Amino acid sequence: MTLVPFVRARGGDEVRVRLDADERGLLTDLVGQLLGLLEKGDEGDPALARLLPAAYRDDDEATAEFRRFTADDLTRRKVENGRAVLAGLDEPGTSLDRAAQQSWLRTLNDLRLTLGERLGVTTEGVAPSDDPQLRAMGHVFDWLGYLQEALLRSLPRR
Amino acid sequence: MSPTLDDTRTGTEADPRLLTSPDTPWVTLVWDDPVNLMTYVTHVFETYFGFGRAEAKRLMMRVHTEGRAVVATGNREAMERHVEAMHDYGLWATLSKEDEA
Repeated sequence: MTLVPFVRARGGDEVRVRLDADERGLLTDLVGQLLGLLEKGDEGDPALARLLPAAYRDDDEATAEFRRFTADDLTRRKVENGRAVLAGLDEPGTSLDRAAQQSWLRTLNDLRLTLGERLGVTTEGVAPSDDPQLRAMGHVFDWLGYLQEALLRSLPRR
Repeated sequence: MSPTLDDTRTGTEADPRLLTSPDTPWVTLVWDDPVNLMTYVTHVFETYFGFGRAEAKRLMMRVHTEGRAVVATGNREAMERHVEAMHDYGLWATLSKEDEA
């Protein structure tokens, strides 16, 4: 695994992605799944409900109205962010400008929200499991958190 | 929120409702969530609302320890825009009337 996945040159704004081919392949696969969920997901899917949460806590009518006016745009922006990430994964050493940095941060977060929902993550973190597939998903969830944290640390000051 | 290496607690300081306008009774609330990283939530408060690092961290800690925090106050349309922006970032945010929050 790459030790420092995101590096910013001193004094510069751009952040260089330093993921190896396997890591880029895994991320490409995950983002592709996220785009599938956003574009063709089942409305009742709890992961989709977490990506497009209710805007009002105790007002279903206002929540439905808010969703009617915002859900398509929110979904489109999330899809655009995911596509921007995919564009940076084709080859090694892509440089991310400030806009791409935000797309990466948000997409990494959307991936963690989705996986977190699938894994039933609580404040205690990922629950231990005997199921090898769930264990593998738990490792991926932790890795995505590590990437997001590393990207945050590499960002230029505002 | 998930604890991170940057988990520095800060004391209580000024009132968080920096965007308060007295005759506009709606608020934007951000709720605690087991997935979002503390450093990420702080980053969002800094970059979107323009809070300084210390204030952003203080609000983030309020979300983490009290389960939620008021991050903005204003008219309903402005709060809906904030909530939509928070959902863009993946934060769990709602709006409500200030006296019902």
